[in-house]
Amino acid sequence: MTATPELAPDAGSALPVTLSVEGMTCSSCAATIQGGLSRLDGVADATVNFATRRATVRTDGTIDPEALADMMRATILELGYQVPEQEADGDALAQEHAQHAAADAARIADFRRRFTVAAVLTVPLMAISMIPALQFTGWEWAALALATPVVGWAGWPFHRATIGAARHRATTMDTLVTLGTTAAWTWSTVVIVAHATGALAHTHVYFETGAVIVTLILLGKWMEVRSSARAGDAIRALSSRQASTATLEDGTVIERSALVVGMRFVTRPGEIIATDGTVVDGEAAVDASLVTGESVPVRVAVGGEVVGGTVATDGALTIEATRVGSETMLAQIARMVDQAQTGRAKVQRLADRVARIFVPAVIGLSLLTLAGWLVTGHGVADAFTAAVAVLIISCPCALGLATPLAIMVGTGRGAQLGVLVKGPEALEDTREVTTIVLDKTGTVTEGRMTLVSASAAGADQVEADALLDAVASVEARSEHPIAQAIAAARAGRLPVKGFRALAGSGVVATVKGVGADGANAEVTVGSRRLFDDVPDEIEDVARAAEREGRTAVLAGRSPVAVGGVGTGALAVRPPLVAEAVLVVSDVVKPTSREAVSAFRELGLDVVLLTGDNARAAQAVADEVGIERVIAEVLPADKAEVVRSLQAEGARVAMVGDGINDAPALAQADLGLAVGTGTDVAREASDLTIVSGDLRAAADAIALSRRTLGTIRGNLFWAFAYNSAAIPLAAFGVLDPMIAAAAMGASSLFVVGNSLRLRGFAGYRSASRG
Amino acid sequence: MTATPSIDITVQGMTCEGCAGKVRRALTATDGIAGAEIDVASGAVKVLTDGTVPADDLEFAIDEAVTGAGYTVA
Repeated sequence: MTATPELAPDAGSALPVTLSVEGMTCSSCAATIQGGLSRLDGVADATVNFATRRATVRTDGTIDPEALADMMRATILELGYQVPEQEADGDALAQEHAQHAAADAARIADFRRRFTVAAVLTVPLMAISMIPALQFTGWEWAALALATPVVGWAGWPFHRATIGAARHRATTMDTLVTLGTTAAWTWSTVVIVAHATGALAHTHVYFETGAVIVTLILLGKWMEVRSSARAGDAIRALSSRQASTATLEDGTVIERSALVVGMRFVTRPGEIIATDGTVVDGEAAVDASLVTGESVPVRVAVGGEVVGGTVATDGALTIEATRVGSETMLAQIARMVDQAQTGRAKVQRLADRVARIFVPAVIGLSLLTLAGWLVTGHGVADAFTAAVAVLIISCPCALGLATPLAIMVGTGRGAQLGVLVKGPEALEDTREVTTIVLDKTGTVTEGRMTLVSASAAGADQVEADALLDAVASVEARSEHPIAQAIAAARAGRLPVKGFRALAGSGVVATVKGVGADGANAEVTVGSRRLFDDVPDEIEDVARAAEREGRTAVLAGRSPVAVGGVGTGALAVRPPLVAEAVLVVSDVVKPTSREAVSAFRELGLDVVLLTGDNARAAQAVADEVGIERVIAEVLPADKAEVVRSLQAEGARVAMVGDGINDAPALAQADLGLAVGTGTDVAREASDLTIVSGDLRAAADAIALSRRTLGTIRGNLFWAFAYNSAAIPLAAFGVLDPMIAAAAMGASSLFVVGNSLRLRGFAGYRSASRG
Repeated sequence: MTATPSIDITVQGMTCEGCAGKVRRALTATDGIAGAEIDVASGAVKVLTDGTVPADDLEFAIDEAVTGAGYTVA
């Protein structure tokens, strides 16, 4: 792999080219290279930044960036420095993708322009061709004038594609269009020239036929490029996920790209961490859900590792950068997504597959017709008339509409059912999905903590309830998701004072009247290690919960220390005994079980995939009825799991929600993102389930099957009507009216058949909120 | 359990006089509190009581009022 010059979009046409440089020891090295580069031909100015180890050159526009990059490499090597084989980092990929998006936009505009012009010229052309009352002397010449730009200029993209395919001895749908339209135009032109000389008096002209074909196919094409434009994409979404700047310890703000390994930067509470690193000062709960999909923030303290793109929720951190640029976790994910997407086999367009057989057959028939007429002793003119008519009629103008219309209606229906379809490929992929892989957290489960059970020791129910209310009241003061889950689950509140967090994951506060004889008591809530004594019945509940991959939180009371809270007086205090245990877990969504049986009914193998421990995964799998579990998978390996399933011959659909699922979603044959997840996951997928209700994934798969069936039906009928007219053409009884009727009938059928998709009921019954 | 004329607390999170105003309003709206002297810089707050509510209950009420206003009692 060679270094890819990074192209930054620029105001002018000249794009700056940036290369990494290795081997510089000081800023005078940088100056040397800068001098060398600025002397190159075609360079407007060069800057070499010693700190970021990058050389950036702006061209004067007389040289193309690739060539310039090669010259730069040569110059840098000549001066005794190295250009590392760099892998594109996330930002460079994002820029590349932005250029693709611009190119897409240009294509859409181009097709819109061509379609508009073609339509404007075709309407009067049809009028004068079809309505004898409008035909003035010499109208055929007017028809020629109207048809020429339509067939020639508006239809040019098809002709260009035909030529390209012909170079590879291939015939596609475009070949058919070119053949039909050029045959119609050329023949008609020959005929009117002949008319002028008095020959071929009763021969029809087919100007409008060629023009109508071009116009309708352009309409279909325009619809198609519009739906397939990758307006957003995963790489760009990833890039926007990152902090654009980093704040150094002395308060200087620098670009993220200027960070180098070893630099220290500061992150304030709620800020996105700029790059991967090690915490050197401070402590915070880091919300990594964006990257790992894990719902529970992880506490990091000095020495802890953090990942760029995560958020320190409740504290300031000073971080020493350990990985920057293309080395970071997010950049690696970006590369994996990019590789998975580019490595994907292009979906073979159905229309092209049909055309591959149909085109040679039509050409054969046309030649056969010509030969047949000549052999049976007819004139050359009649023979040609019939042979050309075969070519003209065989081009189904409904062909251009068959695929995009079905996809458009299918996409619209999907949206009503809560399934967003990203591009046409998702619905046109003929490869039947056989296996569905479900990410656990946030897909099968809610992705957030819920209180599952709470039990307290106590002399009676009243005391036990009071203790649990006290726990909820204390937890209500905490920001931690587990605490929030407990607080949300119990409505009872008691007065609280002196709340504080404890080292070792817990909190304590004084609660009114929960102590012995109605005295106030300090209530401690948190992990086992905060307690001096854990009775067996509490221990058993906690262990059972942990076996199922759930989290157990303990609570206990102690008398309020003499001298008030926080005096630091070393009062002799009785041992802290755990008196209550609360089990918290990420619970399965209520619809997941039903969704799994729906997948089974669709004939899919269901696999549960998670980074969590095998016990927690198995517990969830048992609950929803999944037999195959792949647990303890590192985020980076999820795509690998999908790949290995594909290697076993499975066609894989993947459902996920996190950034870390993005490579797997892109790798899968059909990626489905849960709409409640991250935008990066959505962009890497083919389909998005808006609600997060997994049953919609079953709808989505059923819908894509139905849409594909509709496309097949459309193509069949688009060809059938025209094919039925081929014998008429071969026997010389075709006239423009019949051609128009065949086109009209097949177009109407395609529209009607596509609209039937609106009745797709979805997997679930009509009872849908 | 005698009613004290004032209770001293430290409030964290106040950055300006606006914050102090919020804390003062939250406190004076509470039964049993006559007023509050607030030093934003140190976070020291002297809560003046009117003696109608027992001090213990008042401490919970003060905590509740300050927390409700979006600040924490250290």
